[in-house]
Amino acid sequence: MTAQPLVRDSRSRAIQIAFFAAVLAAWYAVTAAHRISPLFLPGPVQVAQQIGRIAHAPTLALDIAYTMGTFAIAYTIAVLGGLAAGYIVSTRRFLTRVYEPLLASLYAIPIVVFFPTFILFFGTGPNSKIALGALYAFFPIALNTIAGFTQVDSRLVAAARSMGANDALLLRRVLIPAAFPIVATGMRIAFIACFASILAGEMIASDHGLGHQIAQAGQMMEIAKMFGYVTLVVLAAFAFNFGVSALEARRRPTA
Amino acid sequence: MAIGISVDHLTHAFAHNGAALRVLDDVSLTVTPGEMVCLLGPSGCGKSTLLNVIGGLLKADSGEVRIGDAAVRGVMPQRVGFVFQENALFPWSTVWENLIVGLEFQGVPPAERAARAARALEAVGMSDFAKFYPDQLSGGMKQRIGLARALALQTEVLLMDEPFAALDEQTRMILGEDLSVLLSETGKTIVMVTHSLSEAVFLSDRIFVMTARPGRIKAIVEVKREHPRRPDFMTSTQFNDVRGELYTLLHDEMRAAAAIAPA
Amino acid sequence: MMKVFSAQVASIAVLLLIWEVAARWFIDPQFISPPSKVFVAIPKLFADPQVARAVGTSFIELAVAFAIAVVLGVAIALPVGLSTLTFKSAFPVILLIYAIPQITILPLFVLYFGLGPPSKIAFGASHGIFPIMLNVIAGIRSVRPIYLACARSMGASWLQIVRRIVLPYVLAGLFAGMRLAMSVTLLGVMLAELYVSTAGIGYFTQRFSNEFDATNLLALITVLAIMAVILNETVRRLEARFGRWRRAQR
Repeated sequence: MTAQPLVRDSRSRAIQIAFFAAVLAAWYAVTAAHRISPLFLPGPVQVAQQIGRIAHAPTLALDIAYTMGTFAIAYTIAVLGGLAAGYIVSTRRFLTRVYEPLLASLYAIPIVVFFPTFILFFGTGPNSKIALGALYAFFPIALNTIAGFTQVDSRLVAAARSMGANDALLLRRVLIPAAFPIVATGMRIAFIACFASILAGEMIASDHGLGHQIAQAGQMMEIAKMFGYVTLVVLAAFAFNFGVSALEARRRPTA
Repeated sequence: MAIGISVDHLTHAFAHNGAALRVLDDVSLTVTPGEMVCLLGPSGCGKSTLLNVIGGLLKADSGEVRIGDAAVRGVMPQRVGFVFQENALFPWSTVWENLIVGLEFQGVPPAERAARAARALEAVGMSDFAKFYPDQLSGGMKQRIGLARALALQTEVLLMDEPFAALDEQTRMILGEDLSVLLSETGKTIVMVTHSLSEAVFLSDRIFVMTARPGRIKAIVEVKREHPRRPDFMTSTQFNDVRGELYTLLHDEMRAAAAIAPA
Repeated sequence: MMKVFSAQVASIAVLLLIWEVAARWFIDPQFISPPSKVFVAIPKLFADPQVARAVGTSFIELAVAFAIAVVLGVAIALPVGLSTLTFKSAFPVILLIYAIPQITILPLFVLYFGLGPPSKIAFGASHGIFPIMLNVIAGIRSVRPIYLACARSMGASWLQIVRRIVLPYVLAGLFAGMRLAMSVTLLGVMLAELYVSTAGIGYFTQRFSNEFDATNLLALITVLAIMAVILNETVRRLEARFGRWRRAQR
């Protein structure tokens, strides 16, 4: 109806760049002038130095392997379990009505409260973190799988059946593609939840892993080192996010 | 006390995908006080844009609009009331609250609001529905409330942007008949945008037929029949003749509009 | 309806049964305790004033953190949502910050806010603020232009428009984000509590773990879990009661 005055993207982009530059400058200025103790806020130079040191540390590969390995196992368990449970529940309306609310209620509990029992049971080794990560990731996958399969338009199913599709074909050609976007969202949420919870577990109680390094650096008051590790993990998270978005954009140009 | 409207050489273009899309091309028209006119044209011909410019919701690139003796420079809530096409009732408020809020916006003192709202509701026959929420009403009922809200403002001019477009044909006919009765009693100056030929003939004194984009006034068709118009008017020879005339004028424009419609 | 409910109760009963059997006869009692023992231990555990205080403190922290998340979330969402310029500039930055796994900076919160309640409150609030912000911003951006045009045509001032048209959308967004906000705020508070093992819940989970006291550990966790479920249900019902017209719009 009324033509909106267009806000140029370049203007907002300029504001963002200016903002980040200002933050970086302030960070540098405040720490260089020794106004804040380096134990509270190390300067960008020190952090960069620490990142360099970490990158060359022999333990880095071990920690990364530990964290990523734990993550991979936990996520796989969650995916297999979540997809299976979610699909089975979605096949019958009664099962959905019974178990979906139960799962949703359980999801409301911060799973991390169970972590102490995992430590008690598995010790501080990787298994306690695997259990935590797997449980965290299980719920969004299961719930989204249920949602994805139950919302498949019954008209699509009717059309396929009328053309003679058997159960296997129906699943492959209609149900799975129709449910895919929602299930994929669940898997993405689960990915983040799994990663974050494993880091959390490592920080609370662990002998190895990136989370453990962060927590230990914090406790030993090696703040610059802690910043270094945090920056690495955050950059990895950003890179992953960016990669997934790029993949999605390529796969679904119409979205 | 009705007032007239005059539109002088209105031209307007929108920015669309980087280029300027001209929607109104040197449009001029006058509406005499107390008259009811329709802007009739194919999709995209700029009739809604024209209405918004007349009402001060939009400022045209060039040209001037006068309502009464005053040039239109922005919204004029004291002189102009709008009835919109899609449902413009606030869904979080009841029917009554919708009317009261409109009066609050216009600046009516709190003591007078209830009386005006009640009268407006009665005029459209919806007094029993004051406490209902819009989502509990049918399309036709919602548009009655939209009309009531505009009537409550007691403006001299009423601008209606395809108020019945979202309704089914039978509801449209009923509402059209009621509208004719109602408006003949108020004596307001009314400009209505529509793409329904029957509606235009049934309700208006004059019809401005517009071309496809960029919109110009192609022709002015008169409907010489006093108000209120009875339902039997719709089956009369005069009605069919005028309608036929409109169809001939519009047919090519409608085809042209379909061809140039943006994808 | 009854069939569904009884099936749910039966399922929970079966799980409890498995837990009971496994804990009694198959697993070392150091590692896990059967529900019969756990449920009996609950009242005894909470008779200990220190435990009760620790749990009570956590929930006060939650309440304060949530309140802060709502107030700050709305306060930031308003300028970001109302102006197209601020929206285009600030929203991508907000999303970027949202993508950071906050758990990694938990030690910073403890460093800056100390070992007591303030760090838990801050960490919880920093989690809860995002669903509120994002949902309120989305709500404001979804104001139908026709309502604005209509209000303008009737002579509404800018202030009246915010009060009468934008505010309902802000509230709708608030309710939409509230459940998730409560959920993640609780998560933040719990994470911070468990990380700091010198006092509060973290102290007791640490102690029970070290003493291989599975019964009390499970008792504490069970109570926390049940309270989380009740909290979630309460917010869900609140949202159902007040989200009427938004759903009707769909």
